[in-house]
Amino acid sequence: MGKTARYKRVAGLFLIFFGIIVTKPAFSTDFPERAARGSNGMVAAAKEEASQIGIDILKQGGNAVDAAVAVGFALGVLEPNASGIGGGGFMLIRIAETGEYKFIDYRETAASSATADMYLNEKGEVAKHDASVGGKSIAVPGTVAGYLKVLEDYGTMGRETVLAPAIKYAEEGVEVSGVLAEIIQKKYDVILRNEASSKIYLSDDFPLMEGDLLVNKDLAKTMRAIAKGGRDAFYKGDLAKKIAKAVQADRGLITEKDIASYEVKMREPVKGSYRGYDIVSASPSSSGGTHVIELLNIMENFDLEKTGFGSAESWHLWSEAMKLAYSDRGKFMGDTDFVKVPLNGLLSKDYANARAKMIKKNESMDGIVYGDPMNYESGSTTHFSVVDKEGNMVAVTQTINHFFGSGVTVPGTGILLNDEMADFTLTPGGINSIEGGKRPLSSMSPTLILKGEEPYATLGTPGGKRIIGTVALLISNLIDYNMDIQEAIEAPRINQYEKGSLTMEGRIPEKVQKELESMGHDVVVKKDYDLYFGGAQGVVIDNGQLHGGADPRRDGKAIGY
Amino acid sequence: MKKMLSKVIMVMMLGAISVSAMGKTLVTSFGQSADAAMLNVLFKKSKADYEFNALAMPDSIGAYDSIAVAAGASSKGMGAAGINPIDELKRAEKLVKMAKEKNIPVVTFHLGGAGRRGKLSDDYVKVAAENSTKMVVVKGGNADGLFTNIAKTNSSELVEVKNIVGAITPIKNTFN
Repeated sequence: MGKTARYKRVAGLFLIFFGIIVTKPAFSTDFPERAARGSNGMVAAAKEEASQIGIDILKQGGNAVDAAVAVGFALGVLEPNASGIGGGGFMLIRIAETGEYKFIDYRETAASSATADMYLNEKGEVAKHDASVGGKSIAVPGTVAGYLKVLEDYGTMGRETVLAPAIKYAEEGVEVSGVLAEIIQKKYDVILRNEASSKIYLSDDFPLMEGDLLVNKDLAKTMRAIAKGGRDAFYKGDLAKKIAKAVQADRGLITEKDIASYEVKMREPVKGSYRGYDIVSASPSSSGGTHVIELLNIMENFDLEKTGFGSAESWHLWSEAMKLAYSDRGKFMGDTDFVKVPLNGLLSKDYANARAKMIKKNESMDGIVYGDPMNYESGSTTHFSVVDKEGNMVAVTQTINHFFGSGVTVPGTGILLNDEMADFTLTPGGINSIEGGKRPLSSMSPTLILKGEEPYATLGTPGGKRIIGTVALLISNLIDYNMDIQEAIEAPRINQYEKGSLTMEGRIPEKVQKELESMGHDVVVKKDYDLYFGGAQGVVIDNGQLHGGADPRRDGKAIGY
Repeated sequence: MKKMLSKVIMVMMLGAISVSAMGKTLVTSFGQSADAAMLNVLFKKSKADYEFNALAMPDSIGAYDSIAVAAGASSKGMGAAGINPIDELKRAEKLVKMAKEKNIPVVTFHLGGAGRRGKLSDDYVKVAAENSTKMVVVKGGNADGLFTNIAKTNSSELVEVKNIVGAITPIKNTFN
């Protein structure tokens, strides 16, 4: 063989070898501008301005907790429909130095006088509307208590510093995005019924439009008071009095005593594994982490790499596994301070293996008997993830429940109050029925993933009960299909409750939809990128490099440095 | 040909009649979305003579001289109103049928953008729009040309406005 021919052969072999090494499955991103790379710090949040605030805090020398608290307060101003100091949430932290996990439950609590039958009329029918709009829907907010506790225990900066960006935005105004304008319109009647809310979110009784400035000077004043006076500034004194007055003026039950006695709970997160990766996530009063792990445990019984991403077979398996996980949620889950939950069983591989055996290869099973009687499922809420240069990881999911919560703003304070009571079972006798002081069941699943003690990812999403399925799908996208975080977030999603239709995004090919229908699934197709399936954010750590991803289904944007 | 001509004449007569010259307008909802509350505010600001009843029943419309419909669905809105989507659609269909029988003109309003259209909403939108003499639509909600096509097919009038506040002028022109 001549020299030239030899060279050509070697070059050809090299090209083939290189092609095999670098070729990935053909995933792509439609929104690469939402992703980011960095090596010193990364913040992925539902608003670019919030991510920037987090990065600025990190650059100023703050750690991931400082950044998370600053981002959290800011999101209540930048994305007021989805979270804020009138709401609650969950934060999961991994401290790099010690490897310890801290799980902070700052979920809202029912008023002490709340009862299991408080939403039943004389005929015994449930007045669902009262549980999601107005004073009676409001639970005692936990966000301020939660943030100030983690700041004190694990942060390095003072209240004034971390609150300053949020105060500035509230004072100077936030430009209304297309997403926010649409949500204001959708919740117009909820906002319109409350004078204080109308003053902020409407202009001359009409919805604020894209490009308008949303100003909330009262909220700026409130946050200055919190910066100065700490927890007591919110939970006691003048603000607490005003909150109680506003709630009671609209038929709600919360008293000043309820507010003063609010407690943040420090809990053990739930832990599991998926194909060699450790999964750490939210424990009750969130059902989320437990059922994300259960769902992954079930799916671990199937070779998803073989069935392939996006195939009818894969979606069918996910759908059936979701039915099983959601049915368990409805039957077994509640606030563990009030009810006994079989956590170990739900998290066990053996239990999941037994559940997996119920799944038929080509046939959709009928809805499982155990169901969640809640009819209102809020796709609202927000999630953000932070990683700092030390490797501290934070995942936060927080909410005021439905977009714009109860619709009640406390006059003179700018505080928009939650409608978290809607997350209870509204009839007596259930594991998630109402009791005074109880936390309503959540599905929020701020999640951390590690590979053999090494941090791998922090992620989460809003989306009501669908959070569970979405987080599990994201984890599978990363681990089973080796997607990068932005691809994983953008990839099409499905949801299947314990019974009812299999909903999916429009990008799933019609051929696959038809195959699923032939298996007995009742397929409902939504938009190509549908808010219904959440707004995920996440950060992956890959050989010291930070990859941030954010969801185009909301206004998400990751920023790194 | 004769049928077509009489249809055109009927539409022209209905369209030509100044709706409010006859008095009171019923403002109602097909689909129970938040747009109904918006339409209520628009009518209030335009100082038209109207009554608002989101759940107006067909047999009540005889008291009115015209009907303005906020078309758009919300499953939460229907839940709050205690009506299921099937019954709401039946109510809408019966109402427009009764309006036709009583020669009461119907004007459809679609105040949401493209994001407010979708399969559920479109069922109610079509019932309203296809039985209207006039449609007032915020531009983004007509991106796919649905209202344009309906206007063409039914020889009805289409007014596109830039935003919700822009609907006040056609309300004043039509109902005042």
